[in-house]
This record gives sequence, structure tokens and C-alpha cells, in this order.
Amino acid sequence: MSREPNYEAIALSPTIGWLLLAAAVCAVLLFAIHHEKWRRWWLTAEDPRGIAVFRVVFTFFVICNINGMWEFFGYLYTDEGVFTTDAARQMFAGAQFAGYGDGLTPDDPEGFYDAAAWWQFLRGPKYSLLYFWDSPTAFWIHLWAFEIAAVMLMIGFRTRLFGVLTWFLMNGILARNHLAWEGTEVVFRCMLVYLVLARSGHAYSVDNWLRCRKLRRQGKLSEPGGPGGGAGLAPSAADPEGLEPIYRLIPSWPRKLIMLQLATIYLTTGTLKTGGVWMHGDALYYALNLDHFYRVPPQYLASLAGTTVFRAMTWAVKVGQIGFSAVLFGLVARWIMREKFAPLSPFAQWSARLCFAALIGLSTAIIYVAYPVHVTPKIPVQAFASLWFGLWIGLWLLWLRLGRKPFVIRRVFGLKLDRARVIDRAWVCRWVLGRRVLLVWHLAFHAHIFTLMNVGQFQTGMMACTFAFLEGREIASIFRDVAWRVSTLLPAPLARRVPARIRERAPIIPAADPTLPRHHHDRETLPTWALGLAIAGILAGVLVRIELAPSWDYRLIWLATALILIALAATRAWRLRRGKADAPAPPDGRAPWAYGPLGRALIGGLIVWHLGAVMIWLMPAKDCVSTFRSDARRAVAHYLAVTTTSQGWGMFAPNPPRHNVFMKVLVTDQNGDVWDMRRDVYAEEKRPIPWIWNTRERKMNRRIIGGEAGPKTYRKWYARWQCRQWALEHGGEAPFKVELVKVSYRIPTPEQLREQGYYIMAERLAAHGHESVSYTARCDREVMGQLPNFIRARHDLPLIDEDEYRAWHKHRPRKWAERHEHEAKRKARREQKAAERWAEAMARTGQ
Amino acid sequence: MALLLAVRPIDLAIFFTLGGLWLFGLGFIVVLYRWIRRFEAEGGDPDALRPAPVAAKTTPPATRLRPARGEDFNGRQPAGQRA
Repeated sequence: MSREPNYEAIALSPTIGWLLLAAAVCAVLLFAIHHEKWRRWWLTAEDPRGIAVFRVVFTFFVICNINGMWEFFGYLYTDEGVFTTDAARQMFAGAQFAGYGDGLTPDDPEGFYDAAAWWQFLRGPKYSLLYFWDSPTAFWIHLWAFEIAAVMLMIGFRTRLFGVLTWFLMNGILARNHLAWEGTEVVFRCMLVYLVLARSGHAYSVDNWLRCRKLRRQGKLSEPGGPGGGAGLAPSAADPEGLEPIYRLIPSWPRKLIMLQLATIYLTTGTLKTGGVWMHGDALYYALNLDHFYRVPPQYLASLAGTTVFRAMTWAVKVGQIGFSAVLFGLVARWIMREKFAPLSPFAQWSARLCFAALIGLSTAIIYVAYPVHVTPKIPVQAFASLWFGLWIGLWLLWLRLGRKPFVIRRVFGLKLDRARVIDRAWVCRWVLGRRVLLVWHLAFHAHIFTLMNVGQFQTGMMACTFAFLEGREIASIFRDVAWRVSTLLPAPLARRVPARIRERAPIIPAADPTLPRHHHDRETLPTWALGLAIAGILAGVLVRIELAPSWDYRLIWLATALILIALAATRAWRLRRGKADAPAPPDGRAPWAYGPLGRALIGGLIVWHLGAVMIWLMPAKDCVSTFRSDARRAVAHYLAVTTTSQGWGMFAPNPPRHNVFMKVLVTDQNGDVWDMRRDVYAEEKRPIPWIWNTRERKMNRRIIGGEAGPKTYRKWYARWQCRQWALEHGGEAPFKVELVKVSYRIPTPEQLREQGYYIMAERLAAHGHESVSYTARCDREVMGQLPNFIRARHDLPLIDEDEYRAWHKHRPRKWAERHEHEAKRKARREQKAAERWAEAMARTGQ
Repeated sequence: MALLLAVRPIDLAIFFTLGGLWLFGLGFIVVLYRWIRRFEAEGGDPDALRPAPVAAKTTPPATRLRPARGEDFNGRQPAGQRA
């Protein structure tokens, strides 16, 4: 849907850009000052049981998600489906296949034209075998390979290998066709990458079971009740080889990325829900009354609670989504308190305070600048900016007070407590910003959606992420207590057969002893000047891009900076290795490093890059950032796409739909008879109540017919497929035409429903529904509207003359040749422009 | 009343669905919070290992409401501060 640009906001965009850049620099400096905390948070090792449970649960739902599309496998992912092989290549990976011939004409043989065409494909980001082999047989082979790989990942057999295969094969299926994509796919694609990067097979896996069995046989395993108690034993004079732990420590950063990703999803979707329907509290009402979603009819309840309870629940969702990310603050703050870091020097402390104050000031400045050109609350800009400024200063002062002089509560509502309660930072982090509050909100939110609405595996995938917030010892304690509780409920003969460890509620098996010499305890760190160099390098790249716009890729500055830092880290790692053995473990029981100095530099850099890329990518599509947003996103787009972490979280944002929209497909056969294919919920048989099993058909229908944002091109492809499919099912005879009809009715407002009473969907559709033809395809004239001979031959149908088949000629050989010329011209233009900018900049410097 | 008479049984299903969810949720929260208390009491939560700040505050002398010099409110000596 096009809209009038907000020119005043666009004019402010450069100012907003500089303010944002300054804020980003302050944030980076703040973290750099606290670099010891930053690197210990991301780069230490931990108990593997937390991520292991996430692996089992999440992978199960990965399988469910793909299998949930079983009705449409042929339609979505084979050459007999809505997009034939060449159409899918062009539609979803056009740039990658720019140098690939379809074999439709003699001058366009199938295959890559040259080495450059190969390279064009290999650059990605859509790596799918189904772009090359997508007959129904080939698809089923692909699917079964995925199923086997995913089950192996779930049970933890050759975990890393099958993790990579699951990721590749799942994305191979999804990349072949985007028509059925929901937010669900984005969740599974992002989280699966983090899971694959984790060493999740170190616990609750066949891999670890086999390893322990082998070590036990060799007498090298530390076991509960024995030396080391299961946590491993360092080599000693008595036992020169030592004993291996049951649960080896693993890098913690993938689990922490999952936590951060979940918080990011909530924060993004919460802040994007800015529409009037959300503000008015009616979003739940409209979402629940969408006929494509509800499991049981909600209209009667909506007529009673639409203007009261539903509004409270809507605002609870809005506030909860924005506030959920505070759980990370609570987690990190508690962790910092536990770790007892050495205090910063006074200079560093004041620098950190200055950076935080600058962040507050800059965010206030952004509000002050942007406020007048946006739809805002009806209060003056000065008042709103002051409120924002005051809020953050107040929170800051409150945090300082909690640390220095906590509140002591002796009475509540006049009643004396049995003992005084102290409200300090730890208490706030547990009871306000804690997992016990915000994860319960998260579970409650998704449990409500899952119970009332059917949106596939989105909820299950999101709820599975809850396990990433639990540490290994917590998971082990939960399992221990559940097993013990179950054992107490068993009848005596059965209970006697339960292992004694469970019956006695024995202590959990500890993870590997952090002081084992196998772990990294070195004190190597990059010098402060290196952090300064990193920040300066990143900033220099940005400024060069803005001020000079050089013809060469400005990201080379970032690459050079990264290489210098890696070289520095490698030198230090080499010196450490040459100089002496790893430092002994400190006596404080802190977690060891997950890697040596070089590994820490590499992974630390990757984490910083990834976080920056996701933040840039999620910048909202507002006019006030329009002059730099697309350029900034271009810098990270390819990385995010290749790693399948590109993302968008505008679910029901800025407003949920207020119309129920369905797609009606009418086929007119060669006799002139019209057939309604009845593929949407206007047809009673497509509306089972209660609705238990999800189908993607409803989502695809909405997307095709325009019930939600999406390209209109899907309509013609769907109509063409209907022409072919009819022919396939009717002895090869194509229909005369296919019409796609948009059927819709407006959902009454909550107030109308309250006053007029509830409605029955079918009756309201009959009384208030609208129908309009959105697309008509004449099957004989439509490009690719005819069933091609290779499919006819596959199904023993009569062949047609090759002239009757109207192929989609993309003229790639000519375009591929022209492309080289265009690129050369573009490069020359860019160089000329860069030279002019350079001259201008020099002239400015001279002045 | 007319509206109430027009209600189909399936229109009431959502009440049972939502009610069931809330009852289950309530039970879950009770079980969860009991488990958390037990977990913390057994020392599973490292925060619970901190000296309990409330114990000393049941009958505090008036002067102890503020930390003594060299101590923070929990009675510990902050790192880097002279005792």
C-alpha cells in the first residue's frame, strides 16, 4: 500500500542519523569501559545441560513446523506446484541465477554460463538443492534427508554434523518458496543457527552417552560417588591421566544469543505496535475475531469482554512485549553481582557515567527533534522530552539508591511483617526484572495465543526458547525433582524399581570442575588501545561512507581493523603458548574461558559484528531515518541473509487487520460450467470447530488475495497453477479461465458488538460480505498456464504441441552480457562521483 | 435475555477453554514458585548464598540503619574500600 511520504520527517533524517551515530558511539564506549564484564559474559564456558534441553525441545518443533506443511509439499516445493523450477529460481533467487540458463531455447542452454555465473550463485544467500532437483521424487528424498537429520540432532547423535545438515536442508525447503512463510519461519531460521553453533550435544545426547560409556570402560570417567563426583579430576601423582567429567563445559555465547534474540523479538514487535487499534486496546479483540485464527468462536465472549477484559489484556501484551527485554538487564545485573568484579578506576567510573548520561541526553534530543513531525500524544514536545529525560534519570537514581541504601520494609498496609524485608538490587532483579516474573509473562502470553488461536508452531518455537534462559544446574534440579516427585506417586512395587539416586533425591551431578587444567584460565586480554583502535576503525568506516562515498567498498576499513586486531590476538596467543603453560585456575571458582586468546578475539569480534548487524537491520522503516537506513542495511544485508538471521517482527503491527478476508477460486471449464474450488473458510467444510490442526492454506490465501501485505504477483502465479492443476486432474484438458475473488467483511467494532450482541460468522458474511474479482487468467493465453509436456509424460497424459506451451522467457544470456557492460559503466560513474566528493572534502578542509 | 437464548453450546466453549487455561496457569505458577523457594533454600541459587541481610535487621540498633564506615549495607566490606 503506497502512502504519502512525510517530507518534514525526511528532512530531519540526517540530523537523526548523526544523533543515532553519537548514541551508538556512547553505547559502544560504555561497553568498552566495562569490557571485562562484556567478555566474561560472552566468552566463558558453562554447563551444557541448558542448551541441551533447548536442542531437544526446539528441534522437535522444527520437525513439526516443516511437517505442518505436509498437505502442500507438492504445491509449494515441486516443479508441479505453484512455481515451476525456473519460475522459482527467478522469483526467489533471481540475482543468484542471473547467469544460469533455463534451457527453454536453443541459445539458452541449461546451466551456468561461465565461472562468474557460478560465483554469482555461490555468493548466496539462497542455497537450496530444490532449485536444481525438484521433481516430486527429488523433493521426497530431500524431505526424508531433513527428517532423519533433524531426528539425529534432536537425540544428539553426531550432533554438530546433523545440526548443520538440519539447518541446510530446512532452509533448502523454505528458500524454494516464500509463499507459506510466517513469522514462524523467521523464528526457526534464526534460533536454529544459534543452536547449530552451540555444542549442544555435550549433554542429554547419544553422543555424550556413548562417550561416557567408552570412558567408563576405560576407567577414565569421574562418576557420582567416586573421585571428582562426576565433575572430573585433575591429573595427579596417583592418577597421572586424571578423570573426565560427565558434562564438559561448553561456550555459553550461543545460549546467550538465543536469550538476546528472544528479547529483541519482543522489543521490536512491541515498539512497532504503534497503531491506533493497539493504543485503544482493541488489538486482541480484532486478532481474536479473525476467522482464520480462532480455535472456537470468540464472538460471544468478545461481546461481553471486548471493551473491558480484552482491552486490559491488549495493554498487558503491549507493555509486556516492550518490558520483557528487562529480563536481560536483571540476568546480567545479578551475574555481575555474583562475579564480584574488581571495581573500575574512578576515571573509568566517571567515564561510564558520562557515557550513560550522554545516552539519555541523545535519546532525549532525538525525541525533541522528531516529535513535531510525528503523530504524538497531545502534549508539548518540551513536556514529553522532559518526561523521558526525567524517567531515565529517575531510574538511574533509583538503581544507585538500591545499591547504596536499600529500602527496608517492616510494615505493609499497617501490618507488621514477621521480619523486615530489604528491597535491594538483587531483590529487584529477582522479583521485578527476574525470570520468575517475565518468563512467566512470556509463557502466559503464548499459552493464551496457543489456546485461543491456531497459528501453527510460532508459539511452540517461542516457548521452547524459555529453556535457553535456564542454566544447566537449574535444568538438572528440575529433572531431579520431577523424577523424585513421580517416584513418590508410584505404587510400592514400582517405586522399588526406581534408581536409588532418584528415590533419595540425591544432589545433581555437577558439570565439569571449572578448575580442571584442561580449561582456559589465562589472563591475556587485548590492550585498551586495541579497543580504541576497534572503535576508531568502525567509526572511520562509517564517516568515510557518509562524507566521501568512495568508489571502493568502505567496509574494507572494518576488515583491515579486524585483521589488525586478530593479528594482535594471534601474537599474544603465540607468546602465551611459547612462554609458559596455561595459568592456574583462580581460586574464586569463576567459569573458565571457552577459548584461548585467539578464539576469544575471533568469536568476540563475530558477536559484536552480529549484534551490530541485527540492530541496524531492525531499524524501523520510518521517514525520519530514510536517508541512511537503506545504506546502513545494505552493509549487513548479505551477511544476515546468508546466515539466515535476517529478520522482521512486525506481527499485527502497526495494527491488526480489521477485516476478515478470504480467497474464492472460480474455475470455468471448456463447457462454460463454473466451479467453486472452496479453498477458504467461507466454505463450511473448511471451518472445523474446534480447529485443532493448523493449515498454511489460510495464510497463503490471505497473502495471495491481498488480505495482508505482500506482492500482488502471487495472484497470477496461483491462477496459472490452477490452470495446470485442473489439467493434471482432468485428463490433460485445461480449463477456459480461472478467477480469483476477494471475499471480505468488516469486523464490527467492540462497541458495536457490545451493544448489538454477538454475531455468527456465516450469517455476517452473507449479510455484509463483499466480493470482487482480483485476477482472471485465460489458461490458453497465460504464460505458464498450460501443463508442460514433461509433467504430462510423467503422468501418462496426452502431450501438447510445444507451440501451445507459453514459456516464461527471461532472456538471461542477453542480460548477462549486458550486465558486464553496465557494471563497468556504473563503476566508472561511482569513481567519478567519489573523485568529485573527495575534491569537495579537500576544498572544505582547505577553507 | 434474547441474546442469551440464542447462544449455541459452541459459543460457550471459549469460556471453558479460557477458564481451563487460567486454572492450569494458576496451578503452574504455584508449583513453580514453590520449587523456586525450595531451590533457593537448598542453595541452588548462588544469590541465596549471600549473607541474609534481613537477619540482622529484626531488632537493629538505631545507628545500624545506615552502613557503618567501611561496610556496605549487607555488612560486607566493598572491594577496594579501606576497612
